[in-house]
Amino acid sequence: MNVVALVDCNSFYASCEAIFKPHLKNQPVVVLSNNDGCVIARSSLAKKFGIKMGVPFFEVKELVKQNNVKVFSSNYTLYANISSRVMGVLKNYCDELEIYSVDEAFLILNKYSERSFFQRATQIKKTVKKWIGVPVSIGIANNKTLSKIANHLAKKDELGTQVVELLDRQQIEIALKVLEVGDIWGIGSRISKFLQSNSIQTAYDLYSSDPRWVRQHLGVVGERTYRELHGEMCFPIIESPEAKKQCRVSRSFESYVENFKELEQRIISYATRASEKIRSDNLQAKRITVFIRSNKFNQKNQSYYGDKTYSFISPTNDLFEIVRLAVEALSSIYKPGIKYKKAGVLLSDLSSEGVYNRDLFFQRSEKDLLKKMKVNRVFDRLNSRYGSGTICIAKENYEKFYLTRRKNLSPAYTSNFYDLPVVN
Amino acid sequence: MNKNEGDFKESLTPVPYLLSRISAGFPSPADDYIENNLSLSELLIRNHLSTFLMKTSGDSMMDVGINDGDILVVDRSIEPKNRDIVIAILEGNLTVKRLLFKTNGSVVLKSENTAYKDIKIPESADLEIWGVVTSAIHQFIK
Repeated sequence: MNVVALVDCNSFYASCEAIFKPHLKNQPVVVLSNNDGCVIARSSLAKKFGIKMGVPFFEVKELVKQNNVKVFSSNYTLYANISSRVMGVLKNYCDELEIYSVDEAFLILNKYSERSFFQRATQIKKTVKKWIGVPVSIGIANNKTLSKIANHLAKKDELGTQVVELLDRQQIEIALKVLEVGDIWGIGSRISKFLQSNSIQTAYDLYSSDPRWVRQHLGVVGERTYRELHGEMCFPIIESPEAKKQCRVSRSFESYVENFKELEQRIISYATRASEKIRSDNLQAKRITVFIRSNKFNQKNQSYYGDKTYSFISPTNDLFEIVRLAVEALSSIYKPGIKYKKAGVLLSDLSSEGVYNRDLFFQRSEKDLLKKMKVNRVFDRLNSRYGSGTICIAKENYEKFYLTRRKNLSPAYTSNFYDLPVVN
Repeated sequence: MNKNEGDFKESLTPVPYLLSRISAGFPSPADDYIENNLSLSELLIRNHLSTFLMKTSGDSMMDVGINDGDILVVDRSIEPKNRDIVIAILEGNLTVKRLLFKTNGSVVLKSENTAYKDIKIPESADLEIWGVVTSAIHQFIK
């Protein structure tokens, strides 16, 4: 039988930061979300100091200070580069690979090898560590659900090999007995509450439930999870996930914004980033949505939410068209006298570049399209070469509004010649 | 994953082009002989996944032609051998030195500049090598 291995990078963002700063290895590290709002990654040492995932940074400021925790703003450029290197290594070791997230992948290991699955997984772990410098844990099982559980156990094995195999029925049952039902992959908090109210507490309780009951109450997806717990393979490996359907860039502001001009600058900035993203994926958007809102939590001020969606005449990823419509949408929803706290731009109905719907009343010449593409390409190249924000639309204020708070950003070690790590 | 591998190569790999226009006239007899343009990254980088670029600071490796501000090509996948130029981790920091394995099991990190002393490490197990330097790029005009 072939098996599924789930490879998951340990404290991925923190590990990326430590590649070029080896002294961080023995220090607690946390990485903050956009705008330095919340903690989104912790090294294992930081976890031990009781810093929880997702807490607002200001709540743990004292803890951070007391324990000399190193703080980083999220450096997504670096994480994406390291991630693609890790995935590249994994690709060399398997027949099929599903990149599940930036730091996780499902692999199919075939049965045709003289070496055991465990040996091969250990080799993968060693190679990723040596080539890229990122530690990973690996769970091996007959399907995705069980490999997730095996990985969960591997993560805990900090001093050991961090490779766990769950292929034997007895071992599986032992593992399920100590796992809360809500920790099973695919069992969300709503279902988990429902199960607990039916006195199903552990994964083993679900495993030993009546399959008919499961199907009746949890539906088809729940039944698949149940069958996977029993060793069947119901969720296939998806090698090339469907192209992104939408691309969203939004931010909460550090202080209130009332003025239209300021809001406009921000919207232009978000529209610019969103258009950059879809261009880098060779996609084009059919529709654009702009939304703005006041603070949800503050009852004192008048609350307001506004959004507006426009369709492009023909799908596009042209910066200038996208920005123009974004500003138009903003003008139609802007209300004076509101204290705005958040705004965003969403590009949706994405499709592959190059497919144009010819419009009877709006024929763009090939030449015009090519010219636009060239301008966009120059724009993207300048920004990728000399750093994001090198060139921007005059109304955007990059420094001020996009890079609002990234106080602890590490350099773009792998993507900018001016940011290379320095050695003595 | 080809896309990602492509990302590393793309920027430095020029695409070959046809010598003759397609539209009219006799096709250039040289078209059949077209090969890729020379690619520096192909020359300098054997393993795109495990290769990183770094910048030097200081003159400790001057005598082998690694000058202040040069760019180093560092491959982590190569097993370090005696006399390789390596990036070593010294007290948590990255440093470029020549690696010498001594017969008694100790290791020396040697600067290629007589003004600097050798750094002796009693046990090779105590030293972590970050990667092996495969080339240094010195630009005369930037």
